[in-house]
Amino acid sequence: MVRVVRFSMAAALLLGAALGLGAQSPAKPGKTDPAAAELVRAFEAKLDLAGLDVTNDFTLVQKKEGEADRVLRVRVYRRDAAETFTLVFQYPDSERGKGYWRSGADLYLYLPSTREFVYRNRKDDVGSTDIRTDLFGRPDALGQFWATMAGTAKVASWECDVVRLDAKKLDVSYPVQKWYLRRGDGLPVKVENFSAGETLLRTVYYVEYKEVAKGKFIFAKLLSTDALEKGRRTLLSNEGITTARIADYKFSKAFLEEQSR
Amino acid sequence: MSGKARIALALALALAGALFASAQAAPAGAAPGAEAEDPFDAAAFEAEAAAAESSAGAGPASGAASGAAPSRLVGGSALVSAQAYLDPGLEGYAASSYAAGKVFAKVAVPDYGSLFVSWSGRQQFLAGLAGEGPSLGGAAYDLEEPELELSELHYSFDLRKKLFLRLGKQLVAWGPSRVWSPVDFVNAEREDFFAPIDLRAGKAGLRAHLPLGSANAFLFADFSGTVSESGEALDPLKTAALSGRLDAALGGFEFGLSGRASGREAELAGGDFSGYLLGTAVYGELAWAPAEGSVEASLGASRALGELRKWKLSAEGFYNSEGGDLRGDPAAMAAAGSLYMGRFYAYAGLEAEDFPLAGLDSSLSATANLSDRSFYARLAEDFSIPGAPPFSLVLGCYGGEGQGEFTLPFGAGAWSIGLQARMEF
Repeated sequence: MVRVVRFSMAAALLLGAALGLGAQSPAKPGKTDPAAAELVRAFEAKLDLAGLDVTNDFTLVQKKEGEADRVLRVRVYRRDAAETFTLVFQYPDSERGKGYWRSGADLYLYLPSTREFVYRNRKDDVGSTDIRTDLFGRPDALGQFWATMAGTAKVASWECDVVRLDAKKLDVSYPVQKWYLRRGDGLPVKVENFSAGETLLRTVYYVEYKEVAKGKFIFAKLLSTDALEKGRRTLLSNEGITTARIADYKFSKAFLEEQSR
Repeated sequence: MSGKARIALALALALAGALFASAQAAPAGAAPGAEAEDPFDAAAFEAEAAAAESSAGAGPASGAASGAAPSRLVGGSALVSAQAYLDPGLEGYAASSYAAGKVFAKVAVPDYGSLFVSWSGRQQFLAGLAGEGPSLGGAAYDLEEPELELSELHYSFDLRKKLFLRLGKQLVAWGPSRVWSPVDFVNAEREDFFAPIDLRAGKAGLRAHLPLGSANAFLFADFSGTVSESGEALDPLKTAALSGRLDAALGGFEFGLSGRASGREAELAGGDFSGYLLGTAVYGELAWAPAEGSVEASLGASRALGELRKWKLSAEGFYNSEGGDLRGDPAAMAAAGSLYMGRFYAYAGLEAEDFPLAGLDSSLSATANLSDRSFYARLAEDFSIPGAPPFSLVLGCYGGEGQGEFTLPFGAGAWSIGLQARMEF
């Protein structure tokens, strides 16, 4: 028995040490620059679709050098006012029925093969692509990041303000981000995502937006390029956008089970 | 490790290396539309996306407003496996090869509900035993007739989208743990964490699900005991079991409470949680049988490591008050079942994507029965080679005290090597 206890304690200590080593401390500037906060609030107000129910189909095309293109199609049900969304995989058939349901800060991944709901955090990626679940739903950058001004830059033909975001906590997709906001309408056109050590990991281009209601926008085309793996890119198209009311039960575990294969 | 075992391991690694090296030498093929010169060129974006969708056979998006028509879906998963077990002195071996899988069909009709049916099957291709040492435990093999079984058959419907019901033979997810699942007292069999494919059959019953905002109430009426083994119908009030579960999300965690009442089985109560703490996923389960005073509990954690989170470290422990060191009592070991016979267990695993090379995922794990001090260590390499079906190479080592849970079949110091190809469709 003593040997068992010693063995268990040693294993627990080793695991604890390993987990501790793996922890990444986000950079903490500790405060938000008011000018940067104003820019963030302005574009988030345009991307915040509170008051609208939005249903649409996302098609993700993932390209990797030396591999066949991977295509995923995901139906999205979104109600920003209630801070909830549901994603249901439609294509390919082998992924069909898999899905996510987010309610506030709680995110569930549904796995049809085992009928399990796995409680996840918001930085989960969608179907092993470069697209993270926090791309969907109501934006809340200032709740998760400190925002500071990082100068100006020209992206394509647009003059942009650059806002740097540093994570307040670990539960985010990328701990350091730079958002390029075009001066004409304040919308983001480019986002660079960095590791805690400030290595560039990914660049996202907002290729096209669609106005779904007066002053309210949703991206229609988005291109994500991997900075570390040459040739790895994800194209995300947003089609079939409607703003008809969505039945309440579609924001529940029951709906995901109903859609299950 | 004996000299022969070292040679066997070296040969296996060399074989794996050679396979991978040949794959790397194969032409990679040109990346279609490599780098867009202007990332904001919407026309080029559309053309590239359309070409990829067409090539993948995805077809156009059906439109979010659809969904009123009946839908039909057929699919499944399959595994083809070959493995050999080598006794510690390499004096003998046991070999086996089989295909196993599950196929399903689902028809959903709006306003009526959906019908789901699935069958599982297994066909042995080869079973071999040679030399001294290894034993197959008296298992019988049939190379002519496949084993086929109805896995699930159920009808799902709802009442005004408020109450969701499922009637029939079904598998039910119950609890968050990965390796051990103390609160799963609903299914006929607990899921085998190490099984490459889940071939379990469901239980006959009625499941009700009532969503309550961010909480959920589940009830499962288990009818599997209402018919005796000889086929005789029995009193449902005395033989059916009723299990309930209430889960709710609170403060970044999900908590669940479970219970079972039954006229023929022990009453059980349980609790579980899962969530995130300091960037680490943590979960646990506890089940208690008041009449017997027995307890089962599991606690686990996993964490993604590295800037790209391509590494994952996970660990889980299990306590079973009824378990113990059962060495020397094979009948008791068989009755208790694998992974549930000991009092204390521990599992640790490390998974890595694209390691040591791109296209190769690796995982290393060890599972120990701390009560009889036997263990199983496993190294799995998942190969994804352009132009070839994905496959896995699995090396296993059985060690610790002899006659223990993991050393009984082939002895302490035995090895296993297997090749597996798995597909989802």
